[in-house]
Amino acid sequence: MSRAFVLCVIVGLGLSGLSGCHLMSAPRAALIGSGDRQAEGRLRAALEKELGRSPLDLGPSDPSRGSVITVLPVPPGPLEDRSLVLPSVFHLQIRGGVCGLLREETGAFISLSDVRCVAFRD
Amino acid sequence: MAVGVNGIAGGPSGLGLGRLVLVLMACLAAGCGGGGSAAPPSVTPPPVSGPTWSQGVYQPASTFKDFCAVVRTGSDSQGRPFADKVGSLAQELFWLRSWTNETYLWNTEVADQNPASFTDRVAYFNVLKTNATAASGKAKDRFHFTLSTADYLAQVTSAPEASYGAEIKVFANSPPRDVRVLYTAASTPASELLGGRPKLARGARILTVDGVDVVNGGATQAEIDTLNRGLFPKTSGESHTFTVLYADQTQRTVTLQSALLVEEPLNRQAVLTTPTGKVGYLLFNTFSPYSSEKALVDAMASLKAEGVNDVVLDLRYNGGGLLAVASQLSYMIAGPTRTAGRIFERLQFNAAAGTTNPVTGGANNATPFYSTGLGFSVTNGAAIQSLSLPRVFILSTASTCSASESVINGLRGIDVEVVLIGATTCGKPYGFYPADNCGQTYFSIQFNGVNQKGFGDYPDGFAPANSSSAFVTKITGCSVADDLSRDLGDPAEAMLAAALGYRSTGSCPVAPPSGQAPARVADTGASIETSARSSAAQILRSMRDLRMPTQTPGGS
Repeated sequence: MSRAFVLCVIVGLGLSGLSGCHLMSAPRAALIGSGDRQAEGRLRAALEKELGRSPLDLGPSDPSRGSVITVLPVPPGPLEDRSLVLPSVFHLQIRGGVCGLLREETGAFISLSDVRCVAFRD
Repeated sequence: MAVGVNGIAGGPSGLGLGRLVLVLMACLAAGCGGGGSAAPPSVTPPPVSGPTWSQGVYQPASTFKDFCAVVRTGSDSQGRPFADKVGSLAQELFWLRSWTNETYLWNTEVADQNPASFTDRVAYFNVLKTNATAASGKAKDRFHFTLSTADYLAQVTSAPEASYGAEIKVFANSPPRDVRVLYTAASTPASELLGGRPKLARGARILTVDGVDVVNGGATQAEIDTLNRGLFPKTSGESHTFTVLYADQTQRTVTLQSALLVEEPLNRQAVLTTPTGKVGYLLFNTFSPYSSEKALVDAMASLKAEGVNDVVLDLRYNGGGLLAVASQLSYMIAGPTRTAGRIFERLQFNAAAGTTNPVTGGANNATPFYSTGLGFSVTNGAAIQSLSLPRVFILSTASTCSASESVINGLRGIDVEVVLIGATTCGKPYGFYPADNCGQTYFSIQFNGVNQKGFGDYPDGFAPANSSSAFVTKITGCSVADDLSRDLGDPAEAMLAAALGYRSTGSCPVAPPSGQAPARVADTGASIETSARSSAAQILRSMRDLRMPTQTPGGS
């Protein structure tokens, strides 16, 4: 662990969720453990908080097998015959040792406290 | 069944409570009623403070957003906390006025009427539209709707609907009535076999329902109610008995039990072998469910594996849905070379919006030809197959609407030849973002979709070149009536046969093939052109209900 990273962690603990440290190393695509219900629950809770609605439905992705997660929008109603809705896309990543979600639409990184990620290997 | 109509036309105005809140606000503004010091009874209350109308002068809609006559508390069915704040009916009306001015496509054609002249938000919304007519004489804006947000969310989040798995269409809803089956879905009560044949089938005419004569009965409201309950069950497990006249003129009595069903977007697919190669056929009835993405991706992969060299896309009953899936479908037809660097559809907002999207406030980005999964039901980023065809045959009726028309227009924008077989499409190049304010959701046309060439002017629909319809946008193809005498996907069915014939000879059928459905099935523009998936599905759902001869449909 580099001296800069340790310094960053010390400073970051008092700031905003280690956000500065995320820049210290290249982000890596990540997965959560297969069958890790606790991690899945925390992941879902973070997504619900980020998107401001609950419950929400995830797309076809499986975060234990792929690092891209989609959240389905509110389904269009019968009057919406030309609906512009798209799923919200998140990338599960490890940044500076922190597991989190990168929201593609905004570029925001959401730290997932207490979620253990493993680096994704194709 | 006037539930939907009442919800749209009337809605909960909240007027009584709104007045109460106004009085309370006036009271608060005057400082009355509290603090222990009684106001002299002779003092005239000051005027109610609130927005004042000045002709042609609009405050930002955000000034009035979520200030409500009746405040909701808690969260909606999606778990989103209500944003309502204590306000007034006047603020709701001023929000409607400013929001319309900012986002309505034809905002300069809306007469600026003083909100003070209105006592109901729905009544005010109903006048916030253009009254112009298209060249055809139709109203320019035929798509101005509102319904309560609770009803709206109940629809979007609804569980599967009670149904028999048959699309039933009322061709004539006054005696002599004509009620027929357009199509059925596999593995549903309608497709159950009885005596070796399905209980219901395309073209079957319903003659009686639970003993009531469909064709000439319905003299009393009780009989009408019986017909509606049987044809359009509200709950699962309902059992109703029908006398059915099939397309082959045989007749029998069947009993159907309703079930909770979700319509499969892809009703059927086939590969037709011809002397000049294989032709893929897809009956695709809705772009709405998220499963439509996977259904199309899988179907196209299958057609590619079969080596088809043409595709007939049957969109005759497809009223639209997700524009992104329409884009994916178009990509899968046209392929990467034809779509590279080109757009599927660009949104044109009102002139004042400039280059921004006035609804989202963000950049007005065009919809590309999506070439990967988007995450609805196919993994985001996953590669999808394409057929890379220079042309496509599309089967159409007046129910072919909106996102379905985008497929036609988007492909024409990149010079993929679209051969249209059937009748004039519905003519809806427009769209909107549903907007909630204070418990009412408003649907007001906000954009016109245009293709790569900037074309999107088809308010009277696309029609085959030999159509007799005026004012329509004519494109290559043949006018052919919907043929209820044959099953969909049958190469002898008139529209599919015409497509195959045109593919073979380059010409249209000289005379309508025999055995077709009544002429009124074709492009009549009749008011009872019903389909649950058309642009105004909810309204049409109520319109399709049978009525006594003296009854008229409600709604906006």
